Amino acid sequence: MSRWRPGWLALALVAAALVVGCEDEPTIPEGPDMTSLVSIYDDPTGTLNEQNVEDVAESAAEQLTRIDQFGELEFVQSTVESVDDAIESFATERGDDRVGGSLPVNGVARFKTICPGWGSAERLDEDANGSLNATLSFRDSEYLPSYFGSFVSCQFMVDDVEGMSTPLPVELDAKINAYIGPGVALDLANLESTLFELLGVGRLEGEEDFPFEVDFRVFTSGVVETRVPSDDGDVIPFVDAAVPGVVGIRASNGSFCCDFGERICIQTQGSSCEDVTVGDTQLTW
Amino acid sequence: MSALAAVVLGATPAHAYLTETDRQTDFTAFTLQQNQLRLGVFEVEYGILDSLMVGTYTAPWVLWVVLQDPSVNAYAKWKFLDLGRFAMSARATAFYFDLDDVDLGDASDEGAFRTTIIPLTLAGSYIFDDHWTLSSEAIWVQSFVSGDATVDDMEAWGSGAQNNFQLTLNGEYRLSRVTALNLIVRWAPYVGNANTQANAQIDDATTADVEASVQFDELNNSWLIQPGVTFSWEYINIQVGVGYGDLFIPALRIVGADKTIVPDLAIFARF
Repeated sequence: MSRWRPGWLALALVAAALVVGCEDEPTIPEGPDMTSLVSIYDDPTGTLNEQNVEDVAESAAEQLTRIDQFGELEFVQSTVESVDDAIESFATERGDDRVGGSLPVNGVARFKTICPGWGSAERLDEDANGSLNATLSFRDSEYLPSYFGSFVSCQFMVDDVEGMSTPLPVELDAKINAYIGPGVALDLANLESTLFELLGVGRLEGEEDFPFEVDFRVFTSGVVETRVPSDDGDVIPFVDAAVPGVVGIRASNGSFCCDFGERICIQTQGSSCEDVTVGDTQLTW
Repeated sequence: MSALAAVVLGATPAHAYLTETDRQTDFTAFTLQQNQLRLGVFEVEYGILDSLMVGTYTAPWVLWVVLQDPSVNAYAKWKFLDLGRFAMSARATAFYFDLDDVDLGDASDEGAFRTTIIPLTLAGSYIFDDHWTLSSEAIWVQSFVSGDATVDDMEAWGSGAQNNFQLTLNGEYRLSRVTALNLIVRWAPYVGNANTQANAQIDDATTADVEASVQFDELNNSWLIQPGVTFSWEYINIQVGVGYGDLFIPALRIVGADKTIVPDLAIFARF
């Protein structure tokens, strides 16, 4: 004997479950495209020669001083590292649902930190101290090559500014883009460098605002590079914590190690000024 | 317990050999007969009607006793179509775990989860002859995780568990009224990603909102082939199998990865 029950009910239950199961995945913001800027840092387009070395040296000194005054944005880097600890823990736990290993995790972290301030206001007074907001995205358990954010009247103190015995109070009101490169793991273990691009204004305590539109690359090894124009493109001046007092300049026609005080640049065979191998060309001004 | 005792005492004694009316209820569209009881190490089932049975898995109850955290589960299976040789059924299972003080590993603090897992099954069985029966199941597993899981000062919420769709094919060949051979093939063509949100207090001055999606894509098309044998005496039944493939967590129907040897065992009395 056959017995028929209203089968549509069972089918409806299954269909309803299918609908419930379709949840939206997080929208992952792509970071800014900084590849053209990165390529200039990797392969400088400008030359350094007798005609432009003085202008390049002047621009490089001014720009490197500014970058030093803002602490090479160590404040940003340390904040990102703190946020990364939480992301890494969270994503690792979430992806560890598989027998025998972790599953890839996609996602985004939007963080906000109240800037440290100059000490005249309460530490957590956002109105007085300003803030830094940023967005980091990750895909397949690796960070995307770039992240972005903004400083909003962000005040902080910078230690160890060259030529200063006390911390320097600074303020930033700027958009920030940062390039860390492809394939950086969620624990940042293989992070080699961060290329920052700032578009906004800066201020030192007691001084007027000034346009602060600069880009520079900070290596974990201690090298800091920036970009300045020459006659036919851009060259890359850099300083290395291991070689104080020397400014290197990478250009399309070679690498130079310069002593701005002595007004001389010497072309080298290598890309570091730590162990200078003197080449044929010397530029003076 | 009193309800269970009443069920046991009131159950109609019945043969439990493999017969035309007594059929395997796992991976098929068949149900227990009215007032039949399956009392097993891992499952307890009861036939309310010939076409409707209810049951529960024992392991979560043990978990409740051991962890002192509520873990409940129940299922109902309804044979809504019976054409003699062909039958269809629908089954809904619900697991609820309310776990506190869960150790999440070195990278995290203890947390508390409220997890609901609901496998929904549509099954069909066709009886070819006295020996051969072929059954198939389509299963949707819907999971929810909520609560205040704490991972390094992060409060997590959202559906952090896995949803999946899987198909099962079960061939039964009866050698006698005691012994039957089974071949179970399981395939999960779709395993959905798990989305989770969290906010973290990084330090006094820093907060972060994190949205993450665990990519279960590589679990798509997980499969398991599991041959086995069933012995069904007057009361006692033993199902033994061993297979190879991906891990399909029993009862919960959550799919794991990495190919491995997967054993199967069920021991129960059927009254």
